[in-house]
Amino acid sequence: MRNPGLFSWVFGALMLGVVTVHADSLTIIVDRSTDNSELYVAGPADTLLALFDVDPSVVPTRDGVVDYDAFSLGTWGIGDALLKHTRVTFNKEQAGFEAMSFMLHPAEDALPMQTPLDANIAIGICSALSSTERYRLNDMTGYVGYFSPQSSAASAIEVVLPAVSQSSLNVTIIDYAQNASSTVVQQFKPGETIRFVISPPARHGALVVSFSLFVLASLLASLWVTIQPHVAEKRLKPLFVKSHRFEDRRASGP
Amino acid sequence: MTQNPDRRKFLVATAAATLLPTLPAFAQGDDQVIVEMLTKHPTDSKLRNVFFPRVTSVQAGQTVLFKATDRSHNSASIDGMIPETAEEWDGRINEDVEVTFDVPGVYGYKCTPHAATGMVALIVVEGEGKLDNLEAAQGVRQRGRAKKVFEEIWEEAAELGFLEPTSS
Repeated sequence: MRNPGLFSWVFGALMLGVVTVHADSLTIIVDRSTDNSELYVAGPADTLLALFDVDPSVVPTRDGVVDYDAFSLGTWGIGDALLKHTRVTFNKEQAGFEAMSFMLHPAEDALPMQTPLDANIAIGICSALSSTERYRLNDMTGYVGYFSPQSSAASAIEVVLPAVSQSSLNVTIIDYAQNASSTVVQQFKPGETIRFVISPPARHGALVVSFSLFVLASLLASLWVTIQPHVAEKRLKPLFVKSHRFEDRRASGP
Repeated sequence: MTQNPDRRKFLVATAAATLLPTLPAFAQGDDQVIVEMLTKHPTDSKLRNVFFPRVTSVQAGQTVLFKATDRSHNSASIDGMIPETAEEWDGRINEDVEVTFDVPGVYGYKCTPHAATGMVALIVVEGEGKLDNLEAAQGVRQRGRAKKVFEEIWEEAAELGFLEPTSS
């Protein structure tokens, strides 16, 4: 785990294999780069819309069935609506995210959501159903992706959702930076504000310096333990001898 | 300007990938150039939703076939990114579309549903005044990842020499 600050979080998502989205859970992927940032969110469609305080009517439907034909004009408008009341900051400064795409897939056939590439595939209409299949919003898992031209490579990212969950909620956060990732799960009680802070990734340089200092300190300590008896002997022996002689002189005094 | 070596390699590879499919068209005297609309880049599986090649140079009067190799894609000109006197185009999803480019200039285009995820590309039509709309095209605001992709595209087009003034 790169982020020591995240150790207090529950490590439940260190599961092997593919992370998929389940009911009452959100999965968030952060992809940090030196020149831009991407943020992906996935969860049950109705939960997702409720937590982002968006009316379900933002998703085009026909007689309650999701209208995929309407998605072919682009779905960033839905993504922007989701972000409208959500606070996302880099080091407490507003992060300039705008939506790339929003997509729905049947909950029974949720797509993998483990890497930025998984997320990138999931938000595209090319991975969606053909429009002949009939699904309602509450049968679907929603996926949305955002892009910011700002770097978050060394930033703490804070996300605060506008609404609270009516039930317990697990938020799995997968943080990608410099080809390494860390995963944590944060649990929220019903009615609790959904706020999480993703600590900046530890820098490799800082880690190397810290490790080097630790090794140096260990070497010095072991060296001291090794030579300390000899030094003590050298320093104390003359004193002992002097003292002994003094005692001798006193003993052999007049 | 310093460049990331990986990025430079990527640009060179992309440039090669761009030229290879284009050169036979010229060599055979064929008037049609093919641009494929793909869900996955043919050589880099991490690149999704791409036009291939994404930077193309054609002669005025040549036709480009935008081929719907993968589903859910189309080709449409981007507002403000084609010469003033050129005709816009807006292909249907899942269908091939042919566009003949008569007016020299730079033409930015997109896949409508995937534009914000970065599925955008460029055609440079050779001829007098081909750079007249360059500044206007570069000034068009891009959404989402398209902004980053167009930065790479302009750089790639320059490296390929497509943005040099036409010698006549």
